[in-house]
Amino acid sequence: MQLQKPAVADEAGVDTLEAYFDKYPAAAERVHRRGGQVTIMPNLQFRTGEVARIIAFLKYTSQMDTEGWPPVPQVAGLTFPQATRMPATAVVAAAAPPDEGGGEAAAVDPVALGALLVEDNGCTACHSAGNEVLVGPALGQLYGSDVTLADGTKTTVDDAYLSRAILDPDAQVAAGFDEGVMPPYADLLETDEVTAIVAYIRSLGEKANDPYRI
Amino acid sequence: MIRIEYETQRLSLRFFMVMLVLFFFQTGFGLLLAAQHIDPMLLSGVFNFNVVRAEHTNLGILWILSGFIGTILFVGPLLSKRELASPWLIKFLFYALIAIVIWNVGTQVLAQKGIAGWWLGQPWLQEGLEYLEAGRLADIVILIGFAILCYVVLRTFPRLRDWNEIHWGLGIGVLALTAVWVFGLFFIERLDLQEYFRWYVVHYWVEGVWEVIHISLVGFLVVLMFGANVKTVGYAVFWGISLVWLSGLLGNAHHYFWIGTPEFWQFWGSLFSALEPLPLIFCFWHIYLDAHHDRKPIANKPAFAFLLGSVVLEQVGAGILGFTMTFALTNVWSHGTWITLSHAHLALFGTFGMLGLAAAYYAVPLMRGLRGFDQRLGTLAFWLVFTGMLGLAFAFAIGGTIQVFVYRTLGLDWFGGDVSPAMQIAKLQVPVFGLIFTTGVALLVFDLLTMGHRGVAGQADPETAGQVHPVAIAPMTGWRRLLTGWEAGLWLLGMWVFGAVITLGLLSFNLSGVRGGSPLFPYLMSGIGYPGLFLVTLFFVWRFLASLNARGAVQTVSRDAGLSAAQAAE
Repeated sequence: MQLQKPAVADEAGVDTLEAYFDKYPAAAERVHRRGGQVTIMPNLQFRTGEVARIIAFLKYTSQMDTEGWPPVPQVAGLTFPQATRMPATAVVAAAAPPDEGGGEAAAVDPVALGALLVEDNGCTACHSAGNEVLVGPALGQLYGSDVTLADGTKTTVDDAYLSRAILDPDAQVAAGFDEGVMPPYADLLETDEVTAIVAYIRSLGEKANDPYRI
Repeated sequence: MIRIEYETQRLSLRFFMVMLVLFFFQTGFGLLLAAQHIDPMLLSGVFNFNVVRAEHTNLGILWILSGFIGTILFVGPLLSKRELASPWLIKFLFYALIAIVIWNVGTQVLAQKGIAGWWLGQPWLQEGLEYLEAGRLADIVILIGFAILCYVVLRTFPRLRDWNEIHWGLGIGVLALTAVWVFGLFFIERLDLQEYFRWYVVHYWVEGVWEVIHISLVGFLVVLMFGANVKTVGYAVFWGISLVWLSGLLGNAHHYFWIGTPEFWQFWGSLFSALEPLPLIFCFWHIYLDAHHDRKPIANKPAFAFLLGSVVLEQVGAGILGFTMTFALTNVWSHGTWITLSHAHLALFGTFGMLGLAAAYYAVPLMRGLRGFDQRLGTLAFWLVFTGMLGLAFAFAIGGTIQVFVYRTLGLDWFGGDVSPAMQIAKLQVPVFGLIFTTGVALLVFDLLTMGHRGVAGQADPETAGQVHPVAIAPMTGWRRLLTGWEAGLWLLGMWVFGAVITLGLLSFNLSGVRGGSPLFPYLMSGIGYPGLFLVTLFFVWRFLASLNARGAVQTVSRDAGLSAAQAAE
């Protein structure tokens, strides 16, 4: 997601996640070890701006002169018989770069950014990108459609409606869905991020027959 | 027992009481940290680990300082043969201390919320520097407090030409305590430079100034307890202080290794800090000599037990464990791991904490006007606290060795969830020994707080005043025989042999075989070194106290009889 920003991409010298993992194998290993594995890191609900500031701080500290400390590990695969092998899943994950996130990061495309945000914030757990209704309304072909609210009034799904539905979901609950199920995202997303998500949902409506799935 | 000679000595009582309460809460925070290590989600977001940790370290410093102030105020009039100057200032100092404590404890949680209180380019409420978290506002009040302490001590002391070594030690000590604090009083945006000056405060305190105060106070307490000659003790204090400063001022450069200072410090810091145990060996040797300059039984056993604990743990925790990690080639591995925790707990609590407790056990019964007190509770508390802390140091050291290997050698990271499970065996030991320690703390805090107020049962019963029933005293044979200088030297040598094993174990992390992934050598060395060191320490203190407790069995009986006669006469 950070690579969507030109400044970050410039500094890293890569423009896709794939290239990034190729260039920084240690980062790739860390990301893959985290994915699907046990981690005791709590879920810190930072805003994007805060994440950027933390990254900047970590960069600042990692550029400090620590006179070669800490020592760089020199273990190149444990060969003695007592050594326990890495779990197979981790080895496979570390060896094969993932397919996702491949070609979508060429420029700051709000639709692509929105798609990533929807993924990262776990929206897809309840909202399918197609027409299948899970816990909440499906996002496919949602944009521009007419929706009946719980109080009986009808409205059209537009930018304003979607923004409000993300930031304060209980303000306009669509008929057939329960109030208080979706958490408000007002404290978790920046305005431009909400715009990106709305753009993404709009893109889903515009190409309703596209088999694209997140 | 001697009586209180000067009324203003009683001003120290309130500082001892605050010390005990803070110590109790610090221990409680320590237990909570141990629990959070096992369950990282415990109170997460409510009372985060780093906040609890800051409370733990801050309270540690605060109660040790309370103990120092209490002890200095108690011995000040005795050293000067007159009342303390400006008692009203001391009372003010006490309320300032209470305010600082409340402020410090209350504002730690600001770090969790990201509030520093910026005004005029200074963080007034909370500055987030490890050990020095309280903001500038508190810093200034602390500076004023130290200045008051300096003023009171220097005004109370006799004229300069009448000073002996103990006067000089304490005088230099309180002045340097204040002077070094100034390095924590300014904000530098560059993090490494700010850290550099933070080390000035933290480590010139513990390795320079506090050592000087410690040596002087131990010296004078030995004079009080054994009637040792002030001149002889003064000689030890002089050489102790000189060696502390000759080795420590440059030796402190072992904190410059990885913070961007020039690389030559890695050599010079290693060299000079390796000499830092010298004054501690000197101090160790002297407590042996002074405790044996006569054969009288010890009047106040808990006080002496804690004083001995302070000197021995200074030797083991600060001297030996500090030595093992003071070389750039060992420190590169131990830095920032649980191995440091082992050293820090044993050195800070052992050396400085136990001194405050020894002074409290000496002074509180006197100030409460007790002719004798049931010493069994205090002695039991000493053993619980002593073994608990040795056990904690062991758990930290073993956990740290595993941590260095898994984290630094194999390069596995915390987020991968590999380091924590690997250390689990040590993490589970921490609360076990922590509970033993806490039981001891609860006992001694209860004992000292309620001493003299506990009603007939606990009070000055002349029959139990000698605490060990005369019949129970075994003859001075076998384990209880007289401890000779030769034997004490052998015990000390044993400690250092195991210290050398630990040092070699840490050095072995540099071997190519270990770096290639085989933990055999460092695990073996630390598996021998740490248990060996801590067991020798435990048995030495047991042996020392057993020998002292057994001596003068006959005198104890007659002394008790003398006490009851004196009480009957009253």
